[in-house]
Amino acid sequence: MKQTLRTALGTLLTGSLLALAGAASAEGAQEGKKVIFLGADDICEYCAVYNGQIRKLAAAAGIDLEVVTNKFDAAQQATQIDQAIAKKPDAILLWTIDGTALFPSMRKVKRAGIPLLLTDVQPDQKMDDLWVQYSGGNYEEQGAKAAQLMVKAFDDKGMEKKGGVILITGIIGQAQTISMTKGFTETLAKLAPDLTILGSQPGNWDTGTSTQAAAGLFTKYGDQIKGVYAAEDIMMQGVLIAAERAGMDPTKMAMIGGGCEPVGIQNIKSGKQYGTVLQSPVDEATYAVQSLTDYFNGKEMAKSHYVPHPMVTAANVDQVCKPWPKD
Amino acid sequence: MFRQFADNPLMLLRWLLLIAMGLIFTLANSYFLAPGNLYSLGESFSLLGLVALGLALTMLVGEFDLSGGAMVAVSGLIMLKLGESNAFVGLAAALAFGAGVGALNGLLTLRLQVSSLVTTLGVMILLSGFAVWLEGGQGVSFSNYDLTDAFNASWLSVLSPRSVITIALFAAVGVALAITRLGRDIIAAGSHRKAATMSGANVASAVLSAFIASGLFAALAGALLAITLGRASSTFGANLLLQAASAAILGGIALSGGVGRPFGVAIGVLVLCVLNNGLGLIGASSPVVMLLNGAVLLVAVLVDGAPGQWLRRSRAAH
Repeated sequence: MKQTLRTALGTLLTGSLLALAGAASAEGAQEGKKVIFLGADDICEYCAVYNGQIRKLAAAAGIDLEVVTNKFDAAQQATQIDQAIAKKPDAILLWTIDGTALFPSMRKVKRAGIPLLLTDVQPDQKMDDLWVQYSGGNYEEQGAKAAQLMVKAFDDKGMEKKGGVILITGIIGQAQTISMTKGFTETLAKLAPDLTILGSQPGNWDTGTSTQAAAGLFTKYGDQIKGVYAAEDIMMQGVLIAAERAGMDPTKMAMIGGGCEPVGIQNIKSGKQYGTVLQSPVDEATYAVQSLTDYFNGKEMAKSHYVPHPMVTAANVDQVCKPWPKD
Repeated sequence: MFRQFADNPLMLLRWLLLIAMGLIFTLANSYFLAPGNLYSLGESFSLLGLVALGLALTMLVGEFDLSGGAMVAVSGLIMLKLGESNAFVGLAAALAFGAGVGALNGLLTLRLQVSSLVTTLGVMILLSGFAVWLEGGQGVSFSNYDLTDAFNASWLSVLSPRSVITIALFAAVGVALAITRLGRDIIAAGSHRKAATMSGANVASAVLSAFIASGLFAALAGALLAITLGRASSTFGANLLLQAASAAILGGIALSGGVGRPFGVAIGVLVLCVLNNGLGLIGASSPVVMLLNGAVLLVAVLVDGAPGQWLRRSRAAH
């Protein structure tokens, strides 16, 4: 019931957001504004969908959006920010590759008098005077919901909430990795104090790396492992491959991913993955364009505007997770 | 400079390539010559230039240092871990570490009598692991934003402390190679090691010095990057080694050793930086950027191949 309610709320929220986007577009102050979006490269599937969506949505809102991407390289992004400042746009939208490394560059943007809006990665909020608004995922909440799903999986599968779980994280040191891990470990400790985190390895948001990372942990801890939290569904795919190679049956374990990505939907439907937490690139791109239109139309803006993160299992996967647009 | 062009027509071709790219990007986007963009170009030149200069020295002496990229990550972490209260302590420690690891690379290569590709590969892996350990899963941040701002300052609108340091080092190494005994030994050792030994060159000292310089320059690049970003991470510098090797080869450094000079390496670094800067400015997608980087390197290698040999032969005949 709670799940259905959350799904309905999520749908309502997205619907109202789209309506708001339409309303903002009608106000029109954003039309013709030059915005430089400094984002992540198309080589990441999530990023490619995000980039495609933001191009479409910005064009629909009349924003002159220039998309500049990079290969997850903070030094390169710092240089791109210098270039963007030289072009004197009306605003810069930044998907910061490293939550902290870009602070000096953000200070340069502020000194240049260019409004800065952030998307996808939320840096340390102590520095939030440097940006107008962050819109995107709430990673600590995502980690916390993954822990709730983990406990629910133990309950649904009739497993005693005792024993060990392992973590496959994103890139070490990234703001999202730190927040997701914090949210997961703190919530799990509260909800199931007898479940121990046996080990954690970085999967670097990559299936191959996650396969190797999980294989090592499966070899070391074997049957002690009752559940796995992989921070993204493409990493969970690697975990499932490693589990099957190690002769373990993932349908009898609590396997929790993140994102509700195409591969995650497939694994949830097949029963190999118990659940995931939604983070949609379409939602994130929609929120980012909403941030820009709100800014240009002089609306009051909160410092953070988070996309919804409903919990997803086989029971609601078709209602909550929509296929990613192809272009 | 003109004598250098007369002695080496291929260098003139590299200059022409650089000028042609500059013209194309100026016509394609009016911001290319904007002071802010030239400043950004200088920042890219600084980071890549320092790593490429060190790598080029090891290539000149007939070796190859694979550990430069990993050194950038480790030295940045050392800089910020030890430099929070006193930046000079952090910088000194990072540079000493760089020089020490460079010396280790040199000694291992000389004593074990194995290819430096093997020894520096091992050191590179060690450094990568050390960087992850130093980082401790959190990355390392720097709260001294006054120093960060000072290093991000713009001088004459286009230069930064980093780019000035890099230009000065290129000039110093160029002069040292031309007029010092050690410089001549480095080139001789790379050209023909046996002949160099027989003619009295101190080959061991040349090899050791080249590796120390490579470690030192990569460490300086990492420390300066960490200061300017206010952050260090084990992932920094991961893409630098291949770019540095490309820049060195583009700049006329031969993989076989003994050929090429820092001036050429600077041109090679500039070619890559201008290409990437210009493509970024016109909004080229990453696949296009990667394809063109590869194409420029291939063209340079092909020009250095058959036509280059022809030019060198005809010069020798005269």
